[in-house]
Amino acid sequence: MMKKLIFCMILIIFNKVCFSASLVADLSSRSIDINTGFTGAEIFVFGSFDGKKGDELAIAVEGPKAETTLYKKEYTSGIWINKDSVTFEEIPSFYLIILSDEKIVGEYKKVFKENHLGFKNLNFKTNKKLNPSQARLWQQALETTMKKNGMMVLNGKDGNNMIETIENILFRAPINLPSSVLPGKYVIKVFHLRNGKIHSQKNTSLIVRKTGFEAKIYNFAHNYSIFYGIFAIIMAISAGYIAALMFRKT
Amino acid sequence: MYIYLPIAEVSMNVFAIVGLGGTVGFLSGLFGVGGGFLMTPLLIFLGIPAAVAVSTEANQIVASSVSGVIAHWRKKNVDFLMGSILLTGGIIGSSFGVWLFAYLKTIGQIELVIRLSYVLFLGIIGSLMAWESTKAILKSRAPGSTRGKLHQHNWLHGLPFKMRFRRSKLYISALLPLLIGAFVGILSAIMGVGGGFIIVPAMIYVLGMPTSVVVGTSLFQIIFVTANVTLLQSITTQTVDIVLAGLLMLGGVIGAQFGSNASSLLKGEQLRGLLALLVLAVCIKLFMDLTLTPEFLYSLELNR
Repeated sequence: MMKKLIFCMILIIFNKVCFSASLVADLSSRSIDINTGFTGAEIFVFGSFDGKKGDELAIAVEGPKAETTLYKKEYTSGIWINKDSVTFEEIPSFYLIILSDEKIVGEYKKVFKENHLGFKNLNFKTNKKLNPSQARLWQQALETTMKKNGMMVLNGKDGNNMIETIENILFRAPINLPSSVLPGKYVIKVFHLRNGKIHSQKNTSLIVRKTGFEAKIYNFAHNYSIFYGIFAIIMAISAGYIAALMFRKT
Repeated sequence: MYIYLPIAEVSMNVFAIVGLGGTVGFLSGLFGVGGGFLMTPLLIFLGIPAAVAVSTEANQIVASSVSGVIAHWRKKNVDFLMGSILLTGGIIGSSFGVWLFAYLKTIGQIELVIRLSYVLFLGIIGSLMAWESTKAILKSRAPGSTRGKLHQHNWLHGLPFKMRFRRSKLYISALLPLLIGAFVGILSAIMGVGGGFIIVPAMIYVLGMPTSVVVGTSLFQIIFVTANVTLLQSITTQTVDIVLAGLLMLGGVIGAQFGSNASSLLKGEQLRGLLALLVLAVCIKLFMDLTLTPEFLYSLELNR
C-alpha cells in the first residue's frame, strides 16, 4: 500500500508542476474486502491542491444509505420502554468528516449547509411531520446514537482523524472503518475552501464488499434460504452426534 | 484471533465465542436445559444483533441437545412417546412464535418483549424451584421421612384423550403435554431458548413425570423445536449465522458432555436448587436493566 501511495504522490507532484491542476484526490485503496480476518480497515485519502496560506480542506465520507428507525425510551409503569419513534429515509449507515481545522465549521457555515456537508446538514426526510424543534431534537439524538454505535466519527481533537498538509500542495487523511461497516458504495467528498467559498471540489468512491468464504455464506443464506436452514440443522445434528461419540465412556 | 461473522456482520474473538459456548454448554449438560436463557442475553450483550442471537442460538441448541440426549438415551432416560407429543405442540407453537417475532420486530418492541418474557418466566420458575428444592432438601434431612405418592393427580390430568406413558409411569390426557409443548414453543422462538427451563419444571410439577426421565425427554423434544426455529428463521429473516453457531457448538458440545457426567454426582433436589439460583440471578440482572435509567435513551435500527 505504501508503495502505491508513494508512486501516486510522485505522479501528483509531477502533475502539479506541469499542469497546475486544481484539486486531485485518490484513495490508497479503491475497494475493501470483508473476509474472515476483517477487523475494520484504515485507508488514506490523499491528493494535491493549489493551496494558499489560509486555505482549508474538508473531507466527508458517506456510507451506503439505509432507512433508519430511531426509538426513544420512556419511563412507563416502572420500566423503560420504546415509546416514540421516527424513521429517517436514506441515512448514511456510516458518516465521517475530517477537517483541516475545526474552526472552519463556524467560518464556512453557509457553505457547509448548502453542500450538505457535516452530519447535521444532511437531508433528513422523516416518515412523519415534525415541527422544527422536534426535528432538531431527533436529528441530534440520531447523531449521538450513531456516534455511540461507531457509525460516525468526527474530526478528532487528539489528532487521530486529521488532514495532514504539506506545503499547501499535498494532503493526506486517514479513513478508519470499523468492523461493523456495511458493504456497499462509500462516497468520499473532498472540498478545497478559500475565502469563505468552495474553491474546488472532487468526489471519489470506495467499494466495500464481502469476499471469499464470508460472501459465499451470506449469499447462500439469502439466495437459498431453505437449503441454508436445512444445512444448519444437519451441521448441528452432526456436531452433537460426533461429540457424543467422542465422549462415549468405554 | 478475530473472525468476521458473515450474518451478524461483526468481528469477534474466536476464543471468546468458543469459551462462552463451553461454559454455557457445561451448565446445559448439568441441568438438562438448553442453556439458551444464558447464551442469548450474553450474545446480545457482546454486540450480536438480537435477531441474529436468537436464531443462531436456536441452531446451536440443536447440537447441544443432540449430544445431551444421546448420553441420556444410553441411560434409558428418554420417554419418546411423551417427547413426541410435546414436540408436536412445540412445532406448532414455535412456528407461530417466529411469525410473532417478525411482527414485534417491525413495531420496535421485540427487545422489550424478549426482556419481559425473561424476567417473568425466569422469576416465576426460579422462585418455584428454589422453594420446592429447599423444602425437599429439608425434608430429606428430617428423620423418619416417608415416601409419598408417585405424583399428585389434578383435574388437568383428567382431560380427554388419555394415554399411557409407560416410561414415565403416567396415564394422563395427551392434550396436556401438547399444550405445554405449544406454549413453550412460542417462548422458544421469541426468547431464543430451547425452553428447558420452563418445560423441565412443567414436566415435574404439572405432568408429574419422574425426575429421572425429565431431562432426557426435554432434550429430545428441544432438538425438534429448535430445528424448526432454525429453519423458519433461515427462511423468513435470514438471521442464522452458521459461523457463529459452529463456534458455539464446538465449545458447547464439549461442555455439555462434562456437564451431563457431572450431573450424576449431585442429587436431584440439589441440582434443582442450583438451577433455581442461576435462573434467579439472570432474572434479577435483566429486571435491573429494565428499571434503571438507561445510559442512552435512544436506540436505532437499520431497516434493510
